[in-house]
Order: sequence, then C-alpha cells, then structure tokens
Amino acid sequence: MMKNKELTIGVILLLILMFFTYIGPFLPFIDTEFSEGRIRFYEEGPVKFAKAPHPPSSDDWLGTDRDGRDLLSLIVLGAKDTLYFMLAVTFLKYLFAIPLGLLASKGKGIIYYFLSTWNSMLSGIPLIFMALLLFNMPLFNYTNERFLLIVCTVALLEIGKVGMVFQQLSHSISKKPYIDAAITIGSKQSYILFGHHLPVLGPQILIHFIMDLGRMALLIGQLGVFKVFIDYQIFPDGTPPLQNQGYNWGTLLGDSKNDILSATWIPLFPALALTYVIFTFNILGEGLRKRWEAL
Amino acid sequence: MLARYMLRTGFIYLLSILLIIMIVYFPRDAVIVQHHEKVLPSISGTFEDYIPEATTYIKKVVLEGDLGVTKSKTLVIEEVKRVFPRTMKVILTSFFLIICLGILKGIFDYRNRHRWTKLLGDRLTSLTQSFPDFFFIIALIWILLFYFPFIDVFEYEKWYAFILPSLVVTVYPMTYVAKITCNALITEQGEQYVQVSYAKGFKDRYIVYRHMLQNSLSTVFSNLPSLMLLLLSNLLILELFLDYKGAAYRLYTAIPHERELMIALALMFMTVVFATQIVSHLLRYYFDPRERSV
Repeated sequence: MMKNKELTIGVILLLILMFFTYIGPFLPFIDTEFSEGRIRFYEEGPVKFAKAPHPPSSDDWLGTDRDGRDLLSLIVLGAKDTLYFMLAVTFLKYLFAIPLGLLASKGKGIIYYFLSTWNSMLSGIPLIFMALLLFNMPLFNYTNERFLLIVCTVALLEIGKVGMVFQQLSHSISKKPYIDAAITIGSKQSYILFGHHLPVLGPQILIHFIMDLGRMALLIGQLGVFKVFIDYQIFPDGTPPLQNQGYNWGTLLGDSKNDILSATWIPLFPALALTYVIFTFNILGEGLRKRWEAL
Repeated sequence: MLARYMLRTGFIYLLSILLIIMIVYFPRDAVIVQHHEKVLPSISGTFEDYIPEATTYIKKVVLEGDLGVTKSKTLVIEEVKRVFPRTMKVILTSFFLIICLGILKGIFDYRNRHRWTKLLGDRLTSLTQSFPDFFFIIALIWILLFYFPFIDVFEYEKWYAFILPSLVVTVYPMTYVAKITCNALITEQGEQYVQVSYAKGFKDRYIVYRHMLQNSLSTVFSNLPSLMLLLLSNLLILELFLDYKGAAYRLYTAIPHERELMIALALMFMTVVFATQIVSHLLRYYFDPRERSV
C-alpha cells in the first residue's frame, strides 16, 4: 500500500465540509433565525451602542454582515446552496459532454465539428465576461426559474471545453490494440464506445469532475464579486423589485468593494470558505489521480 | 497547414462576433405582472424585432463604419480609443511578466523539489493556486492601502499608472505558468538525452537551461491562450477594485444598457485573445521543429 497523503487529506477535508454542510445548521452556535440586530446596546464599557456590521467578537466569531446577521451562520447555511450549484452545473455539463466527446472520438464527423467549433468560439472570451453579458439580461432577471436557467447556461457554455477533453482522451484510447480486436470481431460501434471506451475513461471522468467542482466554486465567487447573484426573488412592490434571496457564498461578496475598507471580515471569510472548498476538491483530485496511476 | 489554421481561426472569430451580437441584441423589454398571490415575470420583446435589430446594427457597422453611440451620446469609437490603450498597456506588461517570471519560478520549483526550499517552490505555487483569483487581488490591494499609504493605488491617468495594476495582476496567472513549466520539466527528465547529459557529467543548471527548457517551452506556448483568458478575467476584477478606468471597467459599467459599446469592447477583448491564439501557434511552429513536421 503506497502512502497517498493527498487523498487522505482530501477525504478528511471533504468529510469536514460535509459535516458542516449537513450537521452544521443544527449545531448550537449556528443561528438559523437571524434575529434583527443592526444596532446593539452594551451595558458595560465606554461605548453604549454600535451599528452593524459588528466585528468578530465572542458573540459572533466571524463578525456580522451589514444586517447584523452572524457571518458564521450565513456561511454554514450557505454551504448547501453553494455546493448544490456546483454539483448541478458540473453534473449537467458532464451528462452531455461525455457522450458527445465519445461520439466525436474519431476526430471527424458532424458532432466533432460542432464540439470543436463551439469550444473555439467560447474560448475567445473569458467565461466571466460571457456570464456578465448573459446574466444581466432580462431573460435571466425576469424569471422565476433563474437558478435553473443559470445552471443550464453555464453548463452549455462549458460543454464544448469538457467535450473536447474527453474527445482527446477517447481518441488516444481508440489506437489501443483491444479496440482493434473489438472492431475485428464485429462489435457494434455504439458498444465499442460505451462498452470499451467509457469504462477505461471512468477514473479520468471522476478526476476531471472533482477538479471541475473547484472551478465552479471559483465562478460563484467571481459572479458574487460582480454582484451577479444566482437566486433572485421578485417583489413587485419592493425596492428594489429584485432581491437576492440565496444564502450562497457569492452573495456575501457582493459588496466587497466597499467592505474591504470598512469591514474587511465580510468578504474575507466567505472568500476563505471558497478557498477551502477549492483546495479540498483540488487536493482530492490530485490524490485520486495519484491513486489511479499507482494501480 | 499554417494557412488552414489561420483560415479556421478567422472563421471562428467571425462566428464568435456573431454570437456576441446575438446575445447583446436579445429581446430585453420585460415587465413584471402580478396576478393573485402570484408574480409572473414576462418578456414582452418579440422575436420579430430581434433579427432585424441585429442585422441593422451589423449593416450599419459594416457599410458605414458607424459603431454607434454611448449613453452620454459620445461616439463608441472615441470611447474605445480613450479606454482601451490604458488596458492594453496593462495586458502587454503583465503578459510579458507572467511568462518570464512564471517560467523562472517553474524552473526554481523544479530544481528545488527535493530540498527544504521546496516550501518556497512547488508547495507555495500549489497553495497560491487554491485561492480564488479575486481573493489575491483584494488582499494585495488591502495590503497596499494599509501598509503602503504613500503609493497612490487609484491613479489611472499618469503615464506610470499601468505599472502597479500590471504587477498586481501578474501574481496569480504566474503560478499557472510555474506549474505548467515545472510539470513539463518533470516529464522531460525521463528522456534519454537528459540521462546522457547527466552521464556525461554536465552541471544540473546547464542541462536544465540548455536542454530541457527548450523542449518544455512548447508546452508553455500552447497554453498562452488560456493564460490570456485567465489574465483578462483577473483584469476585470482588478480594474473594478482599483477604479482603474480601463476597457474592462468600462465594459462592466456598460452592461446591460449600452449595447453598442458592449459589443465594441467585447470585440476588442476577443481580438486580443484570438491574436494570442495565433501568436501561440506561430511560436510553437517556429520554436519547435516537432510541430512543423506534424
């Protein structure tokens, strides 16, 4: 048994993440009600009252946001939203990209040209530029299904890229002797693709999937910094009519440009939480790769 | 082969421009209708106006060379001329720095893999990569603001204003180059010519710089376009936080209302990326004899 430090650390970090995501909301120090606390009064000390955001203290370990909500609770409650978004996008992307990549494995044909053109077109502009252009459109703003729409769009934007990765992997497999053997004994092409290519690609798919989760976490953060939130609720009489309802970590980063000077802890801790998630999935991917290569 | 590549890139470039135009001109008249207890948003823009609007724009640009006007009724072309050079200075400086420093850092990482200095080498590189890119930019700006108050961080009009943003934006993409270079060198070290050089008793430094690096550069060059993408998305965050009034900042403020300006700026950024793609291809073509023989 070879020592695989990365995998061990990755699994431990993932378990901690899972613990806080699912058990976290029930822990005693996590406040799920978010009682109003924009102004706090103190009985002792020279300062009689203070306005939110409150800095980190023994009451709120990570401080509070501008509405006086405990930041630690927000981060723990937001973990589920954040993880669901990452999982949904990545899963949808792979669901379509893998079959397309396999079908295009010959390097010719209509699916191949579609995939490679789509990939090259979208690699001309950074994903975040595209996301900003798209997600500020009324099509995305004036809908009750914003979350779903954003998930599908991000997945669609990335299908070409992921598809091409699997096209190349699958293409390199198609030169192996056992594929020639399968062709010789007259297996159907679909069987060769899904019966012979796919199982060999399995571990690679898992590794890419996990690494991609980290990239999606990064995207949430970037979108948050640019005030593009993933969940909106529409209040026709409210001001503004569109209000952010999600708890995901990107939302806490929305005002970081102002917060960075006056309340550094508001952008700092969600960013650190994102770092933790990205680091977890990166190291888990590295560990899996190492383990798979050792076999 | 080269001509075919150029032709294909040109075709893709045109398609991408078309995609951007179609996205920007997507119908956007929307209202929120309230029924009993239920809120129904609806988009009232019709698809009948959609295609004609987009084609009118394309015709206007192609036939008359008129790129349209901004919100404040100035010409888009003037606005682009005003903001884009500022950004281009940052892009060129930092791209140069990213590649040079990144390769050097990669070599450092490679040569210090087995000493205690690896903590500063590949360990530091991996750790840096786990942070979100915006985190780095925010942290650097925060440090500059609080610990170096004598530096004017928010300057953007003086001639030297591009230096600081270039340096800040270099840090994160640089680690990618370092990682790529280091990995390429590791794959290279198993090759026989490296073993022979070691057997002949050449110094480590000589082998790395004279033999292995040249073969690894091709890998770095093939990653130039994705580096440019990384740099651009970092630049957007940087310009927003530093209030550096460059093209990325202007693009962010133009969304979602100034359609014509959005297209023009997005097109400029796309041109930069496609130019990088061609440069990357040419560099590989001329630097690496193996590429030419394929």
